Amino acid sequence: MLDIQDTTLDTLKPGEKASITKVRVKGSARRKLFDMGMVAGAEIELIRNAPLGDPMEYRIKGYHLSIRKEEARQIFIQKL
Amino acid sequence: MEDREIKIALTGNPNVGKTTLFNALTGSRQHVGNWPGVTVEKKSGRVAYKGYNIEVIDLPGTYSLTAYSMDEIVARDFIIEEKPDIVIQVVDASNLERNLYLTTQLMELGSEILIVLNMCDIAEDRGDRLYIDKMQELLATPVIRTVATQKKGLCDLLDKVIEQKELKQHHGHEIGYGNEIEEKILDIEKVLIEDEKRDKRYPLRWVSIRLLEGDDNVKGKIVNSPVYGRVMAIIDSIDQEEYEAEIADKRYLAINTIFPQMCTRANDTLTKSDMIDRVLTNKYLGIPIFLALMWGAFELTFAFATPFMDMIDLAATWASEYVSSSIHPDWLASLVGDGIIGGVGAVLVFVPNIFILFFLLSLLEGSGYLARAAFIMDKLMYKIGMHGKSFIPMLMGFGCNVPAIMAARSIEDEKDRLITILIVPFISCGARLPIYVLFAGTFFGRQAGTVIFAMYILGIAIAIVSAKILRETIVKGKPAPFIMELPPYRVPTLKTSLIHMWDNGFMYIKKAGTIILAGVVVIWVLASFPWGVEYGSEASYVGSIGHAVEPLMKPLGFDWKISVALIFGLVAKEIVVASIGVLYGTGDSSEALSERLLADSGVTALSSLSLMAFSLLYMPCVATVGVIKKETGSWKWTIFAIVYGIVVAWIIAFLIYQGGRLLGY
Amino acid sequence: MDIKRENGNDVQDTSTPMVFSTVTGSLYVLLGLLQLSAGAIRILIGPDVQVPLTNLLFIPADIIGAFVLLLIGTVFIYGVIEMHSGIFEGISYAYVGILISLIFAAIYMLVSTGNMLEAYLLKNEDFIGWTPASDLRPGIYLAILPLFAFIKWKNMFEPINESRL
Repeated sequence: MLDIQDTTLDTLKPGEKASITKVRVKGSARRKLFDMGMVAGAEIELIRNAPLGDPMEYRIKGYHLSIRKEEARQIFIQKL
Repeated sequence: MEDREIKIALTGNPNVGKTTLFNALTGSRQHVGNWPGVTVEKKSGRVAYKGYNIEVIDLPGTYSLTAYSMDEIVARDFIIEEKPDIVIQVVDASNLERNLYLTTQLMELGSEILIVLNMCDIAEDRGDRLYIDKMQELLATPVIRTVATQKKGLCDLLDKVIEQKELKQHHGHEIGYGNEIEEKILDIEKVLIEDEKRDKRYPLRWVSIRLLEGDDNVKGKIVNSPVYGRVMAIIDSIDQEEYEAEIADKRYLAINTIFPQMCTRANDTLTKSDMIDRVLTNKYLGIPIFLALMWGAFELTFAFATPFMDMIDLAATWASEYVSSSIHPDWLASLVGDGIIGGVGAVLVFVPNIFILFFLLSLLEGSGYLARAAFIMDKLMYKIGMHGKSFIPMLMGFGCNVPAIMAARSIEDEKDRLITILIVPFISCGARLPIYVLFAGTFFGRQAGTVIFAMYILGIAIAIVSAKILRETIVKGKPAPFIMELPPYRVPTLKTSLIHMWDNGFMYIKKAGTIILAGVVVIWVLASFPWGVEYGSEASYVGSIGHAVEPLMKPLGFDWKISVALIFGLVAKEIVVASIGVLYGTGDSSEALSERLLADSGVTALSSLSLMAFSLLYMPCVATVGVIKKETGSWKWTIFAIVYGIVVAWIIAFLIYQGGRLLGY
Repeated sequence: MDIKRENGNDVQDTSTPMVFSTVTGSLYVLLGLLQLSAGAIRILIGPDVQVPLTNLLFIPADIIGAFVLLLIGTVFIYGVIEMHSGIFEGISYAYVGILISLIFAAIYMLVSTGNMLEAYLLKNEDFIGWTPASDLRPGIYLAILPLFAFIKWKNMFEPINESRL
């Protein structure tokens, strides 16, 4: 059941690190995510959720990036 | 001496200190305006240095030069079409990888780049090591490290600019995208070059890469070319999303291969910024702290501004009286005194609010907290079809809609911003409170507090429902995705905040002022003519209008007097109370007015409730209309805001009055 | 005073910030509760009933202000709890608590400056009888403790500058 390819970014817990495998987000958000460094192979860590649970604060490429769960669900990762 | 002119453009990611550099370079010799056709702010300035006249253009801060936002299109079109001699990219040394992504794109545009490495101290404080010589070599561009002493850093930079301008040698830099993509790039280039009439300012390779990435803006630029069909055939033959990912991958890969030679990164330590973030976005404390800070900002914007507003008000009153007594003939005295000075006063009275608001917004933005505010509130706002960044403007609306609408500038997405601007007028501002106090106090006695509170809730509810309706109909689509950098916390520079405050405050006076002035003069004409009638009386035009609209207002429970007061309320909503005072002949005494209202069988508890709701929702005041026009840049949306407000107000007031009557009140 | 007990620069030692946070946090919470009751009584019963000590301690009947005091107190105490359970990062709460308490003291003093202009310069009739003491409140005088800490631990608060240009 638990195929590694099926793990998505929203399942990461605070403090956990992962490596991005594929970005399946569509539309203009897709390019924006690439621009912000969410490319295959990039290392990403969840710092925390927002106080209301969404969006999330990640560390990627040495800075802090925030995205909603909706987009995180379409980003595939491999946990490290 | 033509050669002594140098044109430089400043680019860089947001939050890297670009504006600070711009301010340091140009000082007060700045010009702020808009880029043609769009609401993106354009800043330019001049420096005279060693006999050179250097023009500096501050391009919008962007992460990339794709067509994601208007900012990015504006920035790249400028670089391509205006061909600045040198493009200076301000780079955050503590965040090199992502910053260099923009550098790779600037290189593809074929621009002459100069890198200013900012915040080296932050990077080095945490233990990073930067190898600037290596960086110059690998990037084949000059890299200047900004230094602590103000003057020296700037002189180094300007010396380098002149040196590079005089060298006139172009460095070629290229990123390889791998065989498959390179082949396609070549294919497209070959087709494009056949079009003799193409815009030669655009580098072929760049256009080809952008087309492969599916850039609609670039596609639009070649749509009339005879080779368009053949280019599209190539593009349709590829898996465009894959290419898009592959191209971005390759750019980051190129950075990753050179990055370790330019910089060694220390292990992550607990920075001050991390410490602050831990508390300010804490699961339990985050929201209370946010609310408390917003309340503090509110206090400063409105309470601290009050004495300054009073001073302006006093000065305007004094000037108006002075003019009335010293100018002849009477009509001119009345036009200048009641009309123009009254109108200018109505504009200027908001200036303290606006100056303080922009100062605080700049502090919030510069400190990095504005991004956190959006981060904290996004989930709530998303539920009502809006973006996290819309929260602060809406909150500001409770004080005054004018600065609130201006605060919507921090929202990048055009649709999100438009919706925010259109719904802010429903948020009950301070000026509407006197109306509630008079009528709720007069007709509802001990329940007055509850009634007033209900009005605020009504305003919020209408704003939320309107946002939903707008999303479903004319401003279709979901809120923009929340993909936002949470920059490290910093101490904002006073100079930047003061300049920001001055620029925006002055723009308000200049642009919104003209519209407000026109509005005020129109009202004055209506209230004073035919000449000789008492100002705003039944015999004046405004009185006639009041009578004319009475049949429309009757179903809401309003007679002509209330209608006239509401027309005056367009200048500023607090005037409604004063006008009712004039029309009932009681002047400033609110107790006498209350008695008169109670005695008037035309006004009941029910009609006063309907009136309160109507005053809350109908057409925003002239000042608000002025900024809506200025901020949307469109009469269409301004008129829409007015009409929509009036329609909603009429419907709600109708429901309250007729519904109440049905229930037997 | 507890702050003076600071000795050495051992970063891992959180006992000094812990004592400081406990004292400051408790004071903010205590006066916050007093101010809350003063505000609640003003609304529920009326201005005739006075909560003891409110005059002596310059506590206004202001519920929002009470919320701010309680919030600052909670931030300090939250840090104490984390530090007590051995989490070094708990020191962040003392750090931010000091910053927030100073920010609010500054806001109160600015608003008070505005009132002063109303009273002395504009002679607004709403401000007859206003003296600088009218605006003195726990949010201002309690900030002396964090201010002390701010000066004492100055190197920790050295600004992260926007630019060194």
